Amino acid sequence: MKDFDDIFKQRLEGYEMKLPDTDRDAFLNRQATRERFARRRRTYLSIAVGLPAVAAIIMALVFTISLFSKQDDVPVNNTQTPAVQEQVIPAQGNEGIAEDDADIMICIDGDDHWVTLDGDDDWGKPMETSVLSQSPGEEDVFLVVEESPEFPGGTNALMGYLRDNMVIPDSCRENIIQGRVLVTFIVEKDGSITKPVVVKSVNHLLDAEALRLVSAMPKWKPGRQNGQAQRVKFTIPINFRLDYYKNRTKATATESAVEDIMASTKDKTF
Amino acid sequence: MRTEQELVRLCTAGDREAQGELYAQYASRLYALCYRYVADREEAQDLMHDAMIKAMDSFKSFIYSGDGSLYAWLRRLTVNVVIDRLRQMSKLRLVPLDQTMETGNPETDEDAADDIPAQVLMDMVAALPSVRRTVFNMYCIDGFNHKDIAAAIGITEKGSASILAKARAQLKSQVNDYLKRTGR
Repeated sequence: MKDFDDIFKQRLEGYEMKLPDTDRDAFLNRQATRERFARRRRTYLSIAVGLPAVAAIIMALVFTISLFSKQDDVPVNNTQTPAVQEQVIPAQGNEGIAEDDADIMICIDGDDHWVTLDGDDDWGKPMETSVLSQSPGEEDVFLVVEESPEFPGGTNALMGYLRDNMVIPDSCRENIIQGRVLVTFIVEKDGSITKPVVVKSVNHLLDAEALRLVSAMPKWKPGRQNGQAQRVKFTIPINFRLDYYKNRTKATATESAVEDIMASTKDKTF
Repeated sequence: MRTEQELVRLCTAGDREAQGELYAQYASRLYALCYRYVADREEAQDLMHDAMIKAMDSFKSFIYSGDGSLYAWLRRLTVNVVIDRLRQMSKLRLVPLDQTMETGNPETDEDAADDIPAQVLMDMVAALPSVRRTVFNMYCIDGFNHKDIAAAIGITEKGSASILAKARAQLKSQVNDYLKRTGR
């Protein structure tokens, strides 16, 4: 057995893989930001404590405003034609995720969990979107509701559904293309799914499969606000993972498929 | 080029240039190491950054003991970071259900196997189920024993040995397939 191990050990120990050219700067920036932050940590500690309170106040304000504007009952811009349903499939990359160049970094617990905000003036921004008009003439889409929409049978059933129905295209299997596709969609008042959009892409084939899976879901239990069914935006990660090498036909669901399903309501990065 | 000790000292002091040099020397090796465990480029990149940054913070526990000791130290630290992450993601708690790997493969021709490109071997390792991959990497490549592995990922020593046997069997059939395909 020793000889067989050596085939791998000799070649892979100390093996080098090429990194993207931008990676070095990304690393150095990250380290620089950390060092800068370590010096200022004490100053920001008070902000970290105050943030939840501020967030709660802003949330309450936005919600109140939204209630008022709904009572007006005058659709804005309703002269425009209804928006065409579009699917945006952005290029690979981390859209919308603020990273190293953030102006403020707030450490919430210990060293590992960072909240970054883009600039001093943007504090309210993630909150303002908690009720957002998707396009002119359409009804409001909620990001946060009292009662989240739910896949029939709950999160585990959703994972089971994705696992059982996932078809990884052969060409992805052969070229070992795998990864996590993030899809957002809207759960309508009747529980149907509309506007699935890939927000984090891996490969066009996997993106298409993710959209297929999402579109083919059975009707959800709609989200509710004040007991009224509402349209709610939801995001799920779909993990495509190959367990076997190339031509193996037996790509089992063991260990594969889906991890932590989360509602967009819990994830403010989008 | 600076000596390893000097490099470490400057990096700790926040010298950007030294940190760049540290990166230039070790990043692609540590990146490949991470990829070997997680089989995902983006995640490997992320882990490599985490490990290097952790290294910056804990250089004071590094003891120089000859050339190459910095890499050995970095490598150990990186493996720990990777195992921690795998454990966090609870990827390691799931032991694969599929049991019967075909055993009794014909002997592999080790000499012919020497010609297999390293990236192909890498892909074979990457394609193992995650538990097998972790055990194989730790035992066969990074030099841990079954006791270390059992403690690190929370399985028994016996379990570790049996997972290793399956990993080997699976890799062996991959290698033989590859040799057959390429006509050797």
